[in-house]
Amino acid sequence: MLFNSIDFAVFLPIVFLLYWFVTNDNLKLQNLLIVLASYLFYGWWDWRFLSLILFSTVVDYTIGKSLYRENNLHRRKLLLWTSICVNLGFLGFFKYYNFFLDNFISAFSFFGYKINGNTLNIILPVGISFYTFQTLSYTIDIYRNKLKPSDNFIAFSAFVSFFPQLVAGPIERATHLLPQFNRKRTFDYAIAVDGLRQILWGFFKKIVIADNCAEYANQIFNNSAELSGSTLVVGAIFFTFQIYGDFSGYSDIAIGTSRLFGFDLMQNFNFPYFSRDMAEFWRRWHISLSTWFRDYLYIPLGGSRGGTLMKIQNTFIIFIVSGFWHGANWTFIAWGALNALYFLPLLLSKNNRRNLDTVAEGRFLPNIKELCQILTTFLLTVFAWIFFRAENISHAYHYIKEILSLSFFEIPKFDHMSRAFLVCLMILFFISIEWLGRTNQYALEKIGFKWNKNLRILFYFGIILLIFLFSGSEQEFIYFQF
Amino acid sequence: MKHFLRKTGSIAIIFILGLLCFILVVHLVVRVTASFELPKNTEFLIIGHSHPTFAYNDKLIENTVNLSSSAESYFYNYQKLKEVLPKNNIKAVFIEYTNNQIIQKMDDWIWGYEKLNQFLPWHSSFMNNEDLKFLLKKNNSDFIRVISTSTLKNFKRILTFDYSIGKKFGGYKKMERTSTAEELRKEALHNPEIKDSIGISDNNIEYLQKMVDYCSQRNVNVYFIRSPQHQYYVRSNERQLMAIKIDKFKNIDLLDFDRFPLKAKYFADAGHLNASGATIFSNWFNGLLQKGLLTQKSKEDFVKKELETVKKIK
Repeated sequence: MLFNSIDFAVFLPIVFLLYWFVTNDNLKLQNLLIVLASYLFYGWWDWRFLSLILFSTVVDYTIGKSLYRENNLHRRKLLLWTSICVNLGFLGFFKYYNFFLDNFISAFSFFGYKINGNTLNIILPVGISFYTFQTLSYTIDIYRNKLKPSDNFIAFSAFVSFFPQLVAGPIERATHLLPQFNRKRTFDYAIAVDGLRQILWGFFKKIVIADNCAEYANQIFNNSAELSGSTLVVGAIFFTFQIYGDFSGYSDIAIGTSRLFGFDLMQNFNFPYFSRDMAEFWRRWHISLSTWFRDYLYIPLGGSRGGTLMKIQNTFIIFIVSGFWHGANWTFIAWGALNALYFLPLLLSKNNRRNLDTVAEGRFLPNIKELCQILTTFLLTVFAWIFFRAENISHAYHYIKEILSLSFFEIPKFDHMSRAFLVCLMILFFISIEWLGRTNQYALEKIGFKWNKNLRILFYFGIILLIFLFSGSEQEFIYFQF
Repeated sequence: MKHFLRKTGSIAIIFILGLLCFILVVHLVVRVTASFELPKNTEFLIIGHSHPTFAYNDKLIENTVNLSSSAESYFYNYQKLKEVLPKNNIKAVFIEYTNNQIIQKMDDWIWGYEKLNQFLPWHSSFMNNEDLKFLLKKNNSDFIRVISTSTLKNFKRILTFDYSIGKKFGGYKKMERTSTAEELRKEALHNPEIKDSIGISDNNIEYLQKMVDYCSQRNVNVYFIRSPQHQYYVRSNERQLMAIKIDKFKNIDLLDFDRFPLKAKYFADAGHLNASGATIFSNWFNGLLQKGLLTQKSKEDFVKKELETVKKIK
């Protein structure tokens, strides 16, 4: 089920009413309702893959309990690796089987050996990369004695399958989310209203910004061979806003929806395009994934504690794995490697924690230096997104080659330019609101609080109107494919 | 909790009503202010899909406006005609009548999302309830989706004072691409559009009938035309096409330029003339009108005879 569908518009109020009115007095029943609603939500897409979630839930629940009871280090390790192998095994098969097979065959044929292997027509289960990482965090945290296992299967199932964040995150840690399923939730008017506001802003990001930018990004990337360098730059910028609007929009809807049910999810995006360097960008972009990799991969590898070579190695590993997490394509690996190259100079010069505060905090506008830093970081990001969006490495290469040619100085030209101008106006409005609300959890959180009530309602109505007017370019959420 | 439900419920109702009012007002303003006037000397209209769009260069044909538009079904042709005809002094309307306009695929050209999104925003302000209901019935989810596109388009029109719609409804377009006979032959082998078609779009034909009736009511002459198509164009439903013509439109003349003798190099593809082809054909068609095509007793015979002359010249 998509957040931006009629189905969800019917589903959400029904579950909400059942949750607060029918099952409110019984925590077990409330959790069971969440499980059933989540399975329905997921099964709406393809019910066959529910078995994967169920299997993953049973395996991690059982292993978690065994891990807690077991004192023998060898057996504990064995249990941990069983969980890792099962979870990553599913992920590897569904997501990477064809990629590895193709590359294996290509590598052998490069050396003159011919190997026969048939790629399989595999459907990638939606959200597998997200819930796999979430359940892995549960087992690893028990192994590290940071968490007690859940003794309530229904609560654990609800934690694994919680519908607002099941298919595209935020990837929650068991230490943060699981305890919320074990305590009684009470309805809080202010939190629920805030949740609705965040949902509204999420829809704006998704429908007005992401879906409309997608139209032009797709048009330009799909016809890049025939377009000028300047047009390709425009295409990359459109994609830059598309991916941010799409993914952070989804996160806002997920977090807002969770708040309606009394749950608190972690912030996933913290205004990354206002970052002053790439290290700050990575503290603000897809926070739940980058902190996951930091805690479960980077730090166990030694983090930045070792020598220079160790730092370089670990930085590359974490960025490349992060890129590969997104999909089975060399473009994602290149995107990860490029970001490692962006990040390394800051790490090696110990400047990676230079910008920990919010840009221009307490001021209306940034100063010239901050503006230049923001623009430089933004352009580096735009350049990296080209690899992320390209069909393959060759596509990315030709795309960049054309940008670096003389056609960069031509006037951009693509279909429906007058409508694109409207979309650019929307992007400007979007950036302005994001800038004004950059110290909050999400941009709209406190905007208009001091205004007259009618003006505030008019402002929200204006946003709803924009969502309606720009809703003609409906697209799927990009991160569903990851 | 109850306070939350009461408050969100009432705000939701206010917002929904506000949205509905906005949609209605935008469409109403455009409906009232739109102008469909064509150049004053316009006597003849050409209406149809991409075949006439690329075939009739109306700059070369006197007193004629080509309002055809690519991929436009009779349903939207009718909407266009309904607005343009009463506001202009039109003597005759030429409607494209060719092989692919009767096939089942045309249903998708009426209510499929892509075409709905392309054409409904042009016509939504002016369509009558019956036709709106028809689209809603056939594809309610996409129809609702397209309302937003329609409202945005019309809102943009209001903001930019762009109310002169008539000529923007369509028009001659040129294609520079040229083809070789071999390319067209290969294209014919892979043309699934008509070959695989077994069904007929009764809906589209019904709206052709509506156009004919509408013109008759206003005493405007209607002629069917078939734009030039290359010999390799797939016409496997030719018998069906002619059977429908005889059965439903017996009194309408079909001015058939299907076999207008042009070499492959004058075609962009088997169904569409390129710019050079359109220039030759439009000049010839203009000549035909000047020779009094519309005053002939048997217009179909006249066209046939004239076509034979072309053959002799070429």
